[in-house]
Amino acid sequence: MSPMNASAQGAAIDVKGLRMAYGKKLIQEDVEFSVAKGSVFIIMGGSGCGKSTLLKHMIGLLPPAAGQVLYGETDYWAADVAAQDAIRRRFGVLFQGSALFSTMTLAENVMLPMKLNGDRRQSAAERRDRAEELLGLVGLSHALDLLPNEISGGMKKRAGLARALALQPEFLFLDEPSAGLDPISSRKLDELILDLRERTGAAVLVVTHELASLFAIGDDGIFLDAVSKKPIAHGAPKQLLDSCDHPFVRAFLRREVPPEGANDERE
Amino acid sequence: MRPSRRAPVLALAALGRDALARFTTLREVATLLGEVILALGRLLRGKARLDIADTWAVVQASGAGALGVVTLVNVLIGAILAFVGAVQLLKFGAGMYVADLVSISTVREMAAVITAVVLSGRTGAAFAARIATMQGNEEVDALKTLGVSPVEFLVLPRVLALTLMMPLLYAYACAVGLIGGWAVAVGMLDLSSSLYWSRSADALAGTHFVLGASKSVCFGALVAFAGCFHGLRAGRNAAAVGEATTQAVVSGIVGVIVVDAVFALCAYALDV
Repeated sequence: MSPMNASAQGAAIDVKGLRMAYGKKLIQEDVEFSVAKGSVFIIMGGSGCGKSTLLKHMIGLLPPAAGQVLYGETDYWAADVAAQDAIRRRFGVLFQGSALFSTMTLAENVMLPMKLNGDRRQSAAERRDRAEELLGLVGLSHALDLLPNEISGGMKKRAGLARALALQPEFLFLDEPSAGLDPISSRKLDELILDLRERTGAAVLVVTHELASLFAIGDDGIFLDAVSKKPIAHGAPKQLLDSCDHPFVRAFLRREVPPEGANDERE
Repeated sequence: MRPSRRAPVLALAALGRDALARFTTLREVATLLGEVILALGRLLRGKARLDIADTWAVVQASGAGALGVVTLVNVLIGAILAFVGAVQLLKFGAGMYVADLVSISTVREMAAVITAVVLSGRTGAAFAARIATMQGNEEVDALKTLGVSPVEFLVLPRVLALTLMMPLLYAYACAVGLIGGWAVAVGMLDLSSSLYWSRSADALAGTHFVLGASKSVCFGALVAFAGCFHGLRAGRNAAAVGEATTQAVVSGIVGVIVVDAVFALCAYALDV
């Protein structure tokens, strides 16, 4: 699915003319893409190209230097605080390091978004039931009352995903979900993401450079380049693997050393 | 080697950069202070999202949890004051005035300052380390994406807890400081217990307690604020936690001494 297709289908997220910078240091510019409902969109690129920064612009943690991030018709960064809050309540975010609150059990971590932003009529017991259901969904029903420091990295990722799903998000953002996981855990997590896309119909945006993962789950994507500081390819990862002309993108996706000249300035 | 012609320019540029950096820090302090005040306003209107369990845990850790070290340090300070004072006072036969010296200096000055310094190293450092760790683990970002202000959720409970606990710890520190002085006065100077306590009661006035308690409230807020401020502005690497902790302790202690000096000037000007 190309960005054009996503727009034609009624995109859930539209990024227009985004310019990312830390002070005077430009990170990326002319970033444009659309994410369709019920699709998995991959942000690809080498280390340090600005993938996680782009995610921060999209989830409201870092204002862009220019451009728009539209959720439906609303530009997040031009909206007032109340509208931004309303948009944020439709987010589910899995951070790279899971970002579980270390003093809370897994169940409490999952219950927190419900307590803060969920239905106020929901009782503590109902929240607990929902947390059990979500942790069961990610295969952690045996670990409800464990603290984050008592579980493995893969379990933390899954618990983080359960927390991200607590409020039935329309927009699911996953930052390096399979980084640091063994191949089996990584594969299971990919299947879980696909399963969630089917069940919830959420627009899923994934930042990753794990090749196996991006080919397994990506419906569409964008490739950020650290040298030109612009996106250099759009499209589904499998499609880019077969037909992208850019030597660096092709080498990246085939896990090859780029041809002479394609990456002189990249490392 | 001849000094470069550009050396003065470079030095001036460095000075300018340093001044700008300090100005930026001051602006950040003012911003956080404003946010804390606004969060307090929301709390008073019942609109703040305070984690009661976390607030209670902070109250316990910064109050009851600090009793041991506050006891030890203040007993010893009381005893040291009595001992040092006695050495001088005995030279002109005024040994009994050691009670006046210990009681006034403890209640008016030492109990509040020493307790604040101890808490800066203990509680302020713990606040900075906790929040800096959360910053590194992206927990602060996670709070923001949940629409929760880190100031409301992390800073306000800590500032409130320590501001409320400090006057209680101050009162306790006064009591144990006086006991430390009593032990030296009775054990080494052969003063009677009744004389020590009656002289102390005569020497102390309500204004001494009011002054000490007022300082303790300010010190509590200052130490907690310094800890939270350095925790929140910490970087995202492992070294950042250590740096934030060190800066929190240094700022806390320096801040306490500066505020104490301001109190001393005000008390002098008001003839208190």
